[in-house]
Amino acid sequence: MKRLFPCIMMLICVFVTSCSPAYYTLPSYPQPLEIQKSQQGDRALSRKSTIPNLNASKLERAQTERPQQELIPESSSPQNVASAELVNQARELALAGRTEEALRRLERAVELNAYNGDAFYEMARCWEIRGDHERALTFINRAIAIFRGKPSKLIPAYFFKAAILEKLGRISEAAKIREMARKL
Amino acid sequence: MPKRSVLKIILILLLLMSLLIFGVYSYFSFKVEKRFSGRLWSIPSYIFSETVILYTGQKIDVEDLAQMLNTRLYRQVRTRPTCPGEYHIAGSRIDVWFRRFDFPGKLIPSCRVSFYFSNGQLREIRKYDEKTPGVFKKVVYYELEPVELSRYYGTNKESRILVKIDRVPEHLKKAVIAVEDRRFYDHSGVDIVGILRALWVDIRARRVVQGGSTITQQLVKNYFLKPERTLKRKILEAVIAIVLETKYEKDQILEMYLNEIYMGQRGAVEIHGMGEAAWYYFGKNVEDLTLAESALLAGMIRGPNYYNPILHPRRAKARRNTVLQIMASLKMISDVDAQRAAQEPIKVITTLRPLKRAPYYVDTVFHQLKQLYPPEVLEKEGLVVYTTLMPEMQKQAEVSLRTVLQKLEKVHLILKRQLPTKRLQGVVIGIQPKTGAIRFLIGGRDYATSTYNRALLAKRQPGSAIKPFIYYTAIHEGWTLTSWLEDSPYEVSVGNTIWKPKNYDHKFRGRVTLRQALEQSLNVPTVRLAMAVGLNRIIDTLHKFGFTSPMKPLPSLALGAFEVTPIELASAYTVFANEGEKPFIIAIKAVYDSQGRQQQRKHIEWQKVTTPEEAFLITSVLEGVVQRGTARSLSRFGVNFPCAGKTGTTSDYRDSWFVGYTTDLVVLVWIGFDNGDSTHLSGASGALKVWAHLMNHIGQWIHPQPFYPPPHIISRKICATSGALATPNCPETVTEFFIEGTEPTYQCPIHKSRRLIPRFLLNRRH
Repeated sequence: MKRLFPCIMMLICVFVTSCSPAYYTLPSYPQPLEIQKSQQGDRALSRKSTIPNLNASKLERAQTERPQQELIPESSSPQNVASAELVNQARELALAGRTEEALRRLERAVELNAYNGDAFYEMARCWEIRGDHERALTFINRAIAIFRGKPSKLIPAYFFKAAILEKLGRISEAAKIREMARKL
Repeated sequence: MPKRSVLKIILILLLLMSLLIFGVYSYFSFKVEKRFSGRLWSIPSYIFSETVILYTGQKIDVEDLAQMLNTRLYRQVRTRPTCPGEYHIAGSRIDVWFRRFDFPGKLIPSCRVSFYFSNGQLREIRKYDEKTPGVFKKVVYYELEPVELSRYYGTNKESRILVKIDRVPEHLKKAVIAVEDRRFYDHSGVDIVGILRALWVDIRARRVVQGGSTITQQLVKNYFLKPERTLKRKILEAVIAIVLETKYEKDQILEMYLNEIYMGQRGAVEIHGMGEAAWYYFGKNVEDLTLAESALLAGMIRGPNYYNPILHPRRAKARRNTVLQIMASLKMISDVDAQRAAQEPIKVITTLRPLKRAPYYVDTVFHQLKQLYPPEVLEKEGLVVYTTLMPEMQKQAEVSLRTVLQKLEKVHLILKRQLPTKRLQGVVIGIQPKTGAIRFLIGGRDYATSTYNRALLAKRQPGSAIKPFIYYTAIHEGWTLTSWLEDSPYEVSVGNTIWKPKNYDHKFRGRVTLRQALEQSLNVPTVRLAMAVGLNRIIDTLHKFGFTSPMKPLPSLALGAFEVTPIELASAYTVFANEGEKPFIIAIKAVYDSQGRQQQRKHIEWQKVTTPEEAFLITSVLEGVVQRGTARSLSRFGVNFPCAGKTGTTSDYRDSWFVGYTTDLVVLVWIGFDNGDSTHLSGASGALKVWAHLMNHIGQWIHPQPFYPPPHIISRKICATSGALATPNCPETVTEFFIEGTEPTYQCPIHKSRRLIPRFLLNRRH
């Protein structure tokens, strides 16, 4: 019994300690943060507290909707409409083999709408026609990042990327990309 | 003497004369060919801005467009435009007849366009359809011609726009021929009838009233001979003129003459040729000149400065009407046309035209051109250089810098200096992060007092503006935005001394996250982080981002205690704004030679510096800087669009920085004294104000969108106390971004599910 008592006491101590918050708080950072309650409003929080108050809806959307749903919306703002028109013209020029003029328009399209995935896609095509596979790869990657959640655009972009990778001799990567496209 | 001998002598003399004539002809023929086969004129290099895309829905109003047209030397008229180069404001509509822009490498055809506005927006653009007359077709956008920024002159400073004879209107040709050489198409270089007539007129007037030189002779005089009045020169002039006429067609000679003739002075620069004169005096292409304007230009040949229509409109009008009378008397035009043209007022361009627009930017372009071409090519071969500058944004940047600096000097009298060269200076740089195009660049407050381009050359300490690169290094090394840093007194030995970094407010906050430390620009946690990450690693990062200035691995490096140039810093920030890719910074977009051959062309070029995910995390924190950190005052200045940025202040307030960016523009502002005096301004109280003023006034040229998270970014709800995944019991939570795989995997141990914790412990805890 005399031997058992210290053991029981020891177990109790371990249990109590493990339940204590202090057990989990890093010993090297003993000072807790001063947290202002959210009721005090964002403004007060921003001045008195150092805790970030991010745009929750944006973050939660990123958390819950990824990766299937589109993240970058295709808005029909005036800039985007003008940007899309420039891409249409560039597409026709590229088809006619006038890649230099097409690239000029595509660059303007990107200036108007930084998230114009079609512009980057066409840019990649122009560079591919010109034989600059590395540069084509850079722009198709950007197009794919923008097309996320839009399978109708993503699939051809993946296949195009695979084709570029093949030309660069990166056969296994190309196969993987093709597989990804098929799964979509 | 026998008849045969006389005949023989005559024959020999004839032969000798023929030989002499042949010899003279051959000699001058060789000379003419040699002179005319090479470059005829010295043409400066033209520097143009970027074109401007105007689109429906754009936030511009009537005044904005009118301003743009004035900058491009369009003339406002009271009725609908009747010729290219004119515009008319009709309430909320502007009708413009655009000129043809035809320079090597770029052709924008002339066309008539109507712009409709409502509520401060460009509601509709309608373009005249040449195929179906009377119909204006709706278009989505219109590309407005570039603005000429400057020209690269040689020592002779001749300004000239070459014109082809087929583009010269008939009435201009006739006007010139009428006043200078009415028998131009009838003589062979020298006009005996003309000389005799001039002689008779001069004798009657007892002074030199009329000259007998033909157009060909005048051309010869300008090309081959010195301007001296001797008999020898006159004879040579006549001989070469005859030779020239045998070698070239009349129209070719007229074309050379129209391009060569001196037409006045613009400061130190000589105006040569009808193309340049039409542009300078009327803001028109030569083919768009009216009869009255052609008559005026032709009349000016006699005394370009004496008949200058800008300085002496009355004199010019009288001369023009004389020319019109001569033309009518020679039956070149009808009396009715002459009378109608004589009624027209003199309409010249009076818009102020500096020889160099955006001077610091143009200097940058010249500097780059000098590395590509020898000076003689730049001065004489008429290269056409297209740059990336947006004239409207540049103008606003100049206004914003000037306005805010003046305000600051008014509020803080300590900033005022008597000597213009000692005044408070500023730099503003705007770069499009996706294309790398420099949209505007100001290297100083006033180019007239100091041409020193601080944007490119000034070596200044970046202060806290360097911190994002320190934090980026940590994230790259595996730290997260919720990693803890200690904000408590800290000492670090530097050589034999002990350095104790302090926060800007001299307070310590205990434990802070990476995000908090950067948002609040805390110095002590930053130094701790830099020491933990490794100074050499940080230097590697800085090199990766394009910094080339020398730097040493000292702890103060973390606080920006080394020198960089503003352009270096602005370029480095483009990596964050362009999702990890560093764009090649471009000022010169394309260069064409005078024949239209492409010499240079810069396309978008990116270099991968980091992943989109790592770049996004920094951008996310820098958004926090703007929302609640050191740059939160931006909202007070009306900045309510998505943007990220970082302030920077150096010791003794020597430098005030703000580098802010949207998805489509990175703008750096620096304020300071050249001699390193204290500005008494932090980044937020100085440079940030210029940034806000500028961004609020260029809204029509940018399109800020949210910074969307890239593929491998996830967000998690975190307990603010423990930094672990939040439980429902956590009283304060934050949502934070993580790169997939770096997010915390354990739940908050402090605020565990209440069921697991004995009641007596729960009571004790709260």
